[in-house]
Amino acid sequence: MISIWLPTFVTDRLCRQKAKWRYKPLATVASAHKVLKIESSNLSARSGGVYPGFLLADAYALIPDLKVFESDPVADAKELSLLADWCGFYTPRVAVDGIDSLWLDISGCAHLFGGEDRLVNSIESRMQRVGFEARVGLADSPGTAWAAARFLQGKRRLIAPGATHFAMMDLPSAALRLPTDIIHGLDYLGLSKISDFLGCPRGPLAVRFGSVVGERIDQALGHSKDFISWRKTVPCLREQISFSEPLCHENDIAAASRRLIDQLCSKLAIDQCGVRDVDLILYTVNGKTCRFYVRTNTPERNPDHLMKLLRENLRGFVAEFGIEAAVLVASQAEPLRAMQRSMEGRFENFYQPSVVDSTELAESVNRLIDSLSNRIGEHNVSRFVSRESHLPERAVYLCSALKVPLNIKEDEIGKHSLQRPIRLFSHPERIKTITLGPNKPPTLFYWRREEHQVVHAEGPERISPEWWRYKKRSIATRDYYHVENERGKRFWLYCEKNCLSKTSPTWFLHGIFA
Amino acid sequence: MIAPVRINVLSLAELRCRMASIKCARSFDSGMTMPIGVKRIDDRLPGGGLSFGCLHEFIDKGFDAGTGFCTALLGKFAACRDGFVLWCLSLSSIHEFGGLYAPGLVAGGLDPQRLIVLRAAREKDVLWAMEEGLRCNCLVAVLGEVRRIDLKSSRRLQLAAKASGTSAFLLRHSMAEGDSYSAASTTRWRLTTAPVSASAKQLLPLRERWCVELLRCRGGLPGGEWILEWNYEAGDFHLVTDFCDRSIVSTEG
Repeated sequence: MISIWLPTFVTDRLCRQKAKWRYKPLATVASAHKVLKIESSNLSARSGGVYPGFLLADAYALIPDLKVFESDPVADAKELSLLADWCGFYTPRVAVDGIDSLWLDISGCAHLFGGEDRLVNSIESRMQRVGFEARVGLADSPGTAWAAARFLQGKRRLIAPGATHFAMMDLPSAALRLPTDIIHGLDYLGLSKISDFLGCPRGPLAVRFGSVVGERIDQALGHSKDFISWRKTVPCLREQISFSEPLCHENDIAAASRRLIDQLCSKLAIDQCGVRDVDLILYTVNGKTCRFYVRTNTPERNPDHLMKLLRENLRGFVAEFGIEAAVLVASQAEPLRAMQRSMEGRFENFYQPSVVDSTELAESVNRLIDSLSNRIGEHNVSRFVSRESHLPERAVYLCSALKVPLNIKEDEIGKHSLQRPIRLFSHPERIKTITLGPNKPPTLFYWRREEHQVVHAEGPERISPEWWRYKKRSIATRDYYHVENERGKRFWLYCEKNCLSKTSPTWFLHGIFA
Repeated sequence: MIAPVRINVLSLAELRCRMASIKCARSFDSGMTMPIGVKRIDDRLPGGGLSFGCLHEFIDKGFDAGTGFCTALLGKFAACRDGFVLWCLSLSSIHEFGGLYAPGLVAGGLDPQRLIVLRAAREKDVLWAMEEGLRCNCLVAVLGEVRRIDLKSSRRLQLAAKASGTSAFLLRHSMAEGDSYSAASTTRWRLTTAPVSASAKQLLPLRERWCVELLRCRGGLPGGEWILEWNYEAGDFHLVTDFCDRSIVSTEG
């Protein structure tokens, strides 16, 4: 387990905006009880004697040219979460700890970076490069790693397996992640080091300070579990590639992702599995991550198809300073059997319809839907699904094609004996009409500032409201008319009447026959 | 001595066929065309119908008459082969004429279960989706509603259609003065709604009626105007003859 402590995180974040601030005294302030207090200060300010908790006036007395910013906890939290994403380069299990610290679970990851000390060096140097001062503690348990990052120096921060007990002995009691009042209480009793009370009976301590001291000791020694909320669930499939030089060009990134996809697909082929969602995560040199998503209709393990979808998303991607690593993850693998191809050549005789057999047809339709949805958007590629309803606009709706199975054999949509328009407005449009009397079709109507004379009309067809869907009873009935104007254009109009109230009927245009 | 010259005697039909193949760089067989079902129109088209794997353009004069006519044609194409139909709409067309409505498509002869509907915000995306669909061999036909198209895009569509054997339909609503026709299309039609005559409307229920004009036809005989009516029961076009209308009017008068 690794704990990364960023002692000057807030001021380092500000320094990233302007490099020359780095060596100047810098601090952030927040108002507490109507006085401005220093929230955080950088190393240069601390060497001048300005520490968090000082009054701003006192700080100015110590360092007259102190640069002061207002503290922005929201931006700090955002930056820290970005940094946590970036640490996903080392391990998929990353968590944010407080306001200036991260947890990394590196079980089984260290050998990928050439051992634990190299991994720690790599984290420190990378953090340094993007402008963050980092102290990395490594130990068997999270509690000890936390203590090592804060209270030990240099190489001693790497605590060897099994040496936890020994390492904790000579640390101060503050290393146990206890609240400040308990630490003061322990100091008051003369128990300033952990070794002073490690072997003591727990009872008297629990009576005085509560059970938290014992819990923290157990957690630090690994006897009980720490509860850490990890940022993401661990994906089942993960491929990674790192580059010695940062990649900038779109084509190079595409070539790298192609290699990752090939690796993923060869693994999937062995397990007879396929994936529906693939995410490509690019780690940039300046400490950010970019994500690209691919979603497919059916489980897929064809590298060409996945690459085609991913390439479409990568188009126009600008990696500002270059990317240094790429990770491909898939959250779930589903069984996908190898498919029997037909022996006949698929493209030889495409003018004959029978050559393409049904499984290949389905496969190629699914691929088409994938690539269309990938570019145009999932909800914009759709198919018709029917629903039990009298209302014309509810009876049939468009559902995302990714969600509708290809070979639905439900009862056929819209087998009406009555005529229905070919185009329907999702929101019926209000029209002005002139009618000869109630329950008569209009003789003239105005739609979109144009006059239409009704030459011929059929109807009415009454459609009652679906009372079970509404709480209010005052829902109007609709009388539909199929009308033709003097130029042969045909419309579907309706008159909305409320049986209970005495208001005059309103007319709407709902569809067009063509 | 003069060598005997062998004269290759070709029948008129063979010559016509050869002419057509030179013009269209492909010979027309009956299996590659889809007859409209009205003999007078089919006679003017090469191979006796609309050919598969070609770009067909439908110009909608002023108002939405093309949706119904194209639905009927797509239904006929889909009946011949297995596969899906892709219909690409732009958002502007949805705002102007409304979205597609499945029960209406059924009446027009197209099975909505075999339809994939695509809504794109920009016309550029419609053209891209059409080309993507045409390059895939799982579709019977692709229809796109676009207002503007340049020579390059139409040529690309035509080539993609030819390569896969999928038919491409361009439906062009309310073209403005400056908009050019798609240069690469094999056939071009102009459609307007036709009113039912005063006498017939008392006798018949309202039916789809179009005035169809063949503006361009590669390897065929362009020019010609017909009034067609859609017969729901038979799922077929009927030619509305002037004669029929006239005779009824005369008896009334």
